[in-house]
Amino acid sequence: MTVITIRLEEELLDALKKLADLEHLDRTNLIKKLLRKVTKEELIENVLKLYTKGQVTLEQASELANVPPWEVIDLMVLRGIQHKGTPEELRADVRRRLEEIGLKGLADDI
Amino acid sequence: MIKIDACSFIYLVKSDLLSLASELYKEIRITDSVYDEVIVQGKRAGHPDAAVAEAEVQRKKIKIIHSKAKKEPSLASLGLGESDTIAEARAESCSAIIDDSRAKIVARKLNVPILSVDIMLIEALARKKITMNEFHKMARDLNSVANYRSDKYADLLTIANIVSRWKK
Repeated sequence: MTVITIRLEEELLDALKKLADLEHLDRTNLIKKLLRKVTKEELIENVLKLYTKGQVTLEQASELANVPPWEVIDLMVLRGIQHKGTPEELRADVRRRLEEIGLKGLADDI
Repeated sequence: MIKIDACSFIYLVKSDLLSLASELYKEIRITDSVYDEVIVQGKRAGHPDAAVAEAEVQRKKIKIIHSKAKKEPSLASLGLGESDTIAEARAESCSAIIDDSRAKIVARKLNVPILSVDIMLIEALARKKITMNEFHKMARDLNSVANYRSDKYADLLTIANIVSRWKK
């Protein structure tokens, strides 16, 4: 473990003391708990933004956020983040696949 | 035979479509990197669906392969499972199911035949493996996992109508 020193405003320190009392934790353990929680949340938020912009893939998002890909997919649904892909791309993909499986006539009708 | 990457594998498990994939493609293969990301890491993190996926891999006799295929430089921009899946499909000249938009772009540039799970449903309908009613239910279940844009989802249903009415 590494020891770090940070300067806190009196107001924040006071709030931490109150929270530590309420949670029956000493200040160090309370700060560690809060940092763990907030760091995970912020990391996920930032990674989801990258994924939404198409800057990382699902697997990369999962690795960066340190959560399994299942969780990334669940979070996207929960937050209403839509899968990329337009109707135009869908039609082009359908036509391509139908041609690959020998249904060119049907592909031409799409 | 078909290869499946992590994103599509999760979509297939969560929307209960692995059986349909097995019926359509006979042999399904995933790379050990995909297995690790989806099942090993998923179970370690306590995600309940990871255990379901593991049971499905055994039940459907999905083959787990160690990727040895040569990788093109463009694959370095993807995750390990995605790049392994595309490299393997390219090496064996077979199709891959890939739903991740970024991975799809890279696969297309390498001329790897790819489809996504929604296209698989259209293919199943075209090959008369499912009825229109089954298609509607499956598409609804898939949409609850993939969360498609509403205009894309509407178009998927329109295409399905064309396919179901089509006669050679």
